[in-house]
Amino acid sequence: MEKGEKGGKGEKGEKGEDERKGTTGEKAFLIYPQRCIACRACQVACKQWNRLPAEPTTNFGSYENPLGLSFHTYTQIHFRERKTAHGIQWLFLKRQCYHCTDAACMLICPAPGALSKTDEGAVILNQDKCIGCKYCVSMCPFEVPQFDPNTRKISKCNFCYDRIAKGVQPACAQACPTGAICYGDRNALIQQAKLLGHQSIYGEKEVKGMHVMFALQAPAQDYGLPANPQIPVAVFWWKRVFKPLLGGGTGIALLGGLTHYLYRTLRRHEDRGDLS
Amino acid sequence: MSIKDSGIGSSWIERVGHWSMTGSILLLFFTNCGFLFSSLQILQHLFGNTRISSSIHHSAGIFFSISLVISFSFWIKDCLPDGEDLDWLKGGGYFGRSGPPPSKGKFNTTQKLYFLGTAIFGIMASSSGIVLWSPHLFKLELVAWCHVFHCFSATFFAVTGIIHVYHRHFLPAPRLKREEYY
Repeated sequence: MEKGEKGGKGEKGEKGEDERKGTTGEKAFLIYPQRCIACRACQVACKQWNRLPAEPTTNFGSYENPLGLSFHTYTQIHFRERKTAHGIQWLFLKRQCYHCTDAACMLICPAPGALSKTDEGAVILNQDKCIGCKYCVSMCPFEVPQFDPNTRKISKCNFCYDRIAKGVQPACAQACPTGAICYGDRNALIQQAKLLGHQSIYGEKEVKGMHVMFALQAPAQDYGLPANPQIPVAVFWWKRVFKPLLGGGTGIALLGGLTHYLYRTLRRHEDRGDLS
Repeated sequence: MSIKDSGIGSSWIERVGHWSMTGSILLLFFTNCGFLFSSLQILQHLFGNTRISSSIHHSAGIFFSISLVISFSFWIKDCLPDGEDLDWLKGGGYFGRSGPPPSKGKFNTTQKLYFLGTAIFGIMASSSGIVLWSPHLFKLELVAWCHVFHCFSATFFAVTGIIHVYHRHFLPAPRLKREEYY
């Protein structure tokens, strides 16, 4: 399928429908890990749509492949093992950018326009504007953005915003054969999961709401997710206090110097009697 | 007796250290402003583009650290406050009634304080700058606090730099003739 081509399971005209239903228009994934069979069709579809090359990997004693996210892998199925009374249970976690409402990467990014947010809630990256400072790599609580030392740029999932804009669901959701990746209106997905008995949805409230949520059957840590993902408090100190202090302090110093200079000059002229 | 003979003039290496620091601080300030304030993005275009601006900022940071080491090693012995300086500060400094700061040796009290502040905030800026250069190698919390320290030290240099230039060049004060320095 060519990039930009509409898929068969598209959600055409959903924006207008959202308005009629009074929903926010925010889109999301709600992933049911228990439905995932780790076929990795989502990985392949993502690579196809984004024209990402395959990567050579090695067998390290697990079916997990590749080992993690990389510059050329925007989504990956992470394998975790958990001991239960019935033996070993496999837990599968779809790793990708979770498109947080309170996105640390956006907050920290110094390059104007490199990271932005769409109306649907997707955090999208403009690689042309990325300066490769790696601040987003260090700040993301999920360790998602990947740095390529060759291009000196960051890469991450863009929520297939080009497909969403045309009313087509993201490539990974379309490829999923088991219905583990549900895509649609964020609020509707949450309601649906609650009707199915999932009272706690990971990502509903975390970092003020993620746009990739999980109906987990085990504690988040067992899947390798942080129990309480947060942006460090220091980032807020930097953005809300010290950054304005730098701008304000410089302005006040310049203005103070100018005022003092004018005042002294005026006084000097007065003392000389120039102004009388 | 000339200033040079009295031992309170500056040697060429001290001048190199001072002006290297001045130049690097100006470069650091202007290359960073575009990053911090989107309204000042035009400054980044003065240097080419955002990426070049970032590279210049990194290079200027190295230059700044070297000049800091030079200045520190040459002036630290002249800049440690003595009893007289502390008495003046206890008296309220410029805001008290102790008169102008005591000027014994090469630097007066406020110059000593400015130097010590430069050394402390310079070390803070340089060390946090190293972390911010390769943030992916360090822990999330440390990187976040380094942003705070880097920004705070930048505030110190911006504000005191302006005061320093104003005090030196715009305040009407007796100026020494050039030949008195050499």
